[in-house]
Amino acid sequence: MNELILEQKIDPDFKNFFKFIKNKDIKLAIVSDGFDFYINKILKKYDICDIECYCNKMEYHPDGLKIKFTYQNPRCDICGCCKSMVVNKYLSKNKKVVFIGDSYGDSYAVRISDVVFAKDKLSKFCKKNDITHVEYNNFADILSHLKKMDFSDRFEFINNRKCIMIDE
Amino acid sequence: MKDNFKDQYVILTDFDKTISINDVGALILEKFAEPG
Repeated sequence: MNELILEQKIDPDFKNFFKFIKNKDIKLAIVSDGFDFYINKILKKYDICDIECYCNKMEYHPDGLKIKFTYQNPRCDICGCCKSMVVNKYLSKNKKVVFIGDSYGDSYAVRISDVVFAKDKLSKFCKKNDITHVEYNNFADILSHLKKMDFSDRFEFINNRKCIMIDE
Repeated sequence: MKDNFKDQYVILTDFDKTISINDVGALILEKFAEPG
C-alpha cells in the first residue's frame, strides 16, 4: 500500500500555489473525506507541511485498524468528514471562505462558501444549482485568479456571501 | 493583494483529484478492500 501511496502525483502547480499562500501568510486547510495516512504521506513526499487537515483518520492498534470520523456531523451521517461544518466553523469566526473542490461531496460546502473554485462534477453541480463559481482545471488557474484578487473592485459581495468575479 | 486578506480569508481545499491527480482513497479501496 505504501508503494501505491508514494507513487501518487499532485497537481504540478500546487507547490507554487502553496508557496504563494504561505508567503502571504494566508491560512490554508485541507478538507477531505479521505484519510490522513495517505494525505500526510503524499504531502510529505513533496515537502509540503504545516497544513491543517480536516479528514478521516485511520489508526493502527494491536487489534487491527481503527477508523475515526473525527469531523462527522453528529446530525447527519452522509459524509465521514462534514465539509460544510468546517466552512461554518470559519464563517462563525467572521472569516470569508474560499473553497476549492471537484466532487458532489463538496456540494453542501459550496452553498455557503464565499468564493468557490470548482471543476468536474462540482462545476456541473454549481451550474445546475446556480451557484456562483470560478471554473478551474488546475492550481495554476487558481493561483492566477488569486493574484488578481483585489477586493476593492474585482469582487462584489451579495448579502455578504456570494462572490462574483468581475471581468470574467 | 490587500494586507488584510490574510486576516479576512481562509482557503479550504479538497485533496483527492484536487491536490492529488488521482482519487487516492478510491484507488486504495479498489486495490486493498476485501470484498464484502
